[in-house]
Amino acid sequence: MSIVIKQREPSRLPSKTDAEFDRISNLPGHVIDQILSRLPIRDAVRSSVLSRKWRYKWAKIPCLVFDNHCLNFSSQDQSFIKNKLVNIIDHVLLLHNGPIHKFKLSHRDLLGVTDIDRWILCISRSSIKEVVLEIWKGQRYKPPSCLFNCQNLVHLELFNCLLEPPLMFKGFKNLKSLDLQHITITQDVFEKLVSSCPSLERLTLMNFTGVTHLVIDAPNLQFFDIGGIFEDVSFLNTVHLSYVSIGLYVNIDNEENDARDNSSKLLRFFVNLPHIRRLEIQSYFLKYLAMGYVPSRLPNLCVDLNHLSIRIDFDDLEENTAALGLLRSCPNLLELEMLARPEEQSSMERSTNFWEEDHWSSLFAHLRLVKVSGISGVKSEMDFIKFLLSNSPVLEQLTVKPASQEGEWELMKELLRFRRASIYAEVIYLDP
Amino acid sequence: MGSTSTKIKLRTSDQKVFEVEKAVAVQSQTIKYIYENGCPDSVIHVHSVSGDILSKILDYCKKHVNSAAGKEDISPEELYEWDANFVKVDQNTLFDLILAANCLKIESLLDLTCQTVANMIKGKRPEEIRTTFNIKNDYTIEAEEAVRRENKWAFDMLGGVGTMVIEELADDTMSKCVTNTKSRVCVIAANQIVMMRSISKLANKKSIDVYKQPQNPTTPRIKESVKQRNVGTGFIELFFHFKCKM
Repeated sequence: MSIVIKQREPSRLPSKTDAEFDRISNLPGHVIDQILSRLPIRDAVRSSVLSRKWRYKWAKIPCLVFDNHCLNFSSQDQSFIKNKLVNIIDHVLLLHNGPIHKFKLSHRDLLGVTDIDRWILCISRSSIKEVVLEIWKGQRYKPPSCLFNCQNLVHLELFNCLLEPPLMFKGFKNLKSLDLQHITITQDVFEKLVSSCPSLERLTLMNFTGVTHLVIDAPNLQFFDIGGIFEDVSFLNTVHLSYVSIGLYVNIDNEENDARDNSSKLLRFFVNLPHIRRLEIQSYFLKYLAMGYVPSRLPNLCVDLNHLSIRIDFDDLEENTAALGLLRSCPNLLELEMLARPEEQSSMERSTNFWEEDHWSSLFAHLRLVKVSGISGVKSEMDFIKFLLSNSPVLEQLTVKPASQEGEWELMKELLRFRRASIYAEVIYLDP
Repeated sequence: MGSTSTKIKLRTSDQKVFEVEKAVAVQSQTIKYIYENGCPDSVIHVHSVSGDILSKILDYCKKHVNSAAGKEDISPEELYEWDANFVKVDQNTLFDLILAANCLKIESLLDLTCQTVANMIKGKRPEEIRTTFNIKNDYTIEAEEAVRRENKWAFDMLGGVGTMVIEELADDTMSKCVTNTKSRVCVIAANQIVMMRSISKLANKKSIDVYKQPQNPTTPRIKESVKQRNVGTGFIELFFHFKCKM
């Protein structure tokens, strides 16, 4: 039994000379869509003049992008630019003839204006799947309620917006990816939004106002990237989460919090992340994790965790303890990155070595690549590197990048001396 | 090779048979579907694709499968370059690849080839695009004007009708200036010297009459066709009206 695949278009004889036949005009419609979608909107529309066949090919492209590249003039006159841009977008949307699947608006000269409301209404009638709205200037833009009716949305990206969905809003059933940056949203709205999007796989949240306690209830979530100011983060029902990157942009005062709440932030954080593969702890988030009781090891090891990146103050005892607790809990770690946080005032240098020889000899059993950056050669940092080198039997590469040229030589001299457990280990020194 | 990897047989339109590893062949969603839903031992006919094209496509699939599986030590930048070289082919082959990638449903290859064609169109004037792809212009003059009016904003430049903005006139830009008898070229130059250089380049083009010398603003013909304006930040803008003798 043999199976046959038939092509939809009539096949052409191959010809030796270039462009002997006009093949491009006869390509299947969705292939032309793909080609025209990859052009700036202006070039796509100009294709209308190529030949009669091409007159309205552009009007079918399902992907409309209005950004700085598509409109290539610059002028000092703000309102002139704005008017021109508004006219162009109105014009394109009016003559467009077919479903619109992707709409991106990201022009630096466009303020949050009522015109955008009109355009969103237009695309919401057109089974839109991807919306990217970046308002570069002006106050937070509040998208109209018709945006929340777009039940075919798969990807929503908003920059500098205020989110206030209507009361009747029941979530986006098909939304897989949500990217919110520089937004204002209330606690309730955020929680409801995340929990009412059952297909959500990727969530990015940066620089947000209005949410202090992050509660993430998303059963299909795989990718979570957040940076901002918050008090608490907890995951409910996030069994598939494999990539997490968290940055806490404010320095928290440990003493203040210890008295109130003795529960372990570290334990709570990992309790619902059984399959985490990549973790990035940025800014001051390690301080957050160091709050409360810090176990010497997590009860459930993160066996899937392969990549770990931590921003740490090597002189801070609590942070080091939290980091060690974490390192003990990922037996299959392959890549580690430690970034030294430059503190405004460094705490007194301790004379004791925190990173003594560990009884847990299998700490870095699979560790291959390590990067240590932003260090200045202080004892606590060098203690860590020494500890790392003498406990990683399969290490292949350690890259060290200091914060500045000050004390470079001493640092290098010390590095040179450290014993290495792995005969394959390369220590690479990068210039600051 | 001692591995027991499954092989799939593919027969092309010109009766060539290719035996490939399953992992490579199922990069094509079409082949994958047929393999999983049909009889696995039979030969799959790929009627629309010739042997040469399929051979190239299989090279592509193999490279991408190997790099993703880590079998080949190739960085993302190297793979990107390999892809860029892969599409350096004559147009016919490129379109054959597009049609085959479309038919076989190989998304990344379709993306790559469509992007290549898009790059051949980007930034070009319609005449150039027509030449490149041998598209016959079957518009009447009135119809073409109507289309240009219909999408006026796309054919305009900085406000005026048919003006083009050039930062500094390079030699090949000059040939782009001359579009039709009514075109005006707006030269924005960083200073007077650059401006003079650009004007002299324009004047050297034999088929253009420059209707204006910047030093003589008083002749009536010249006054009409030249406007000079400061657009701020030290730029000077000059409009030239060209008559093309071609």
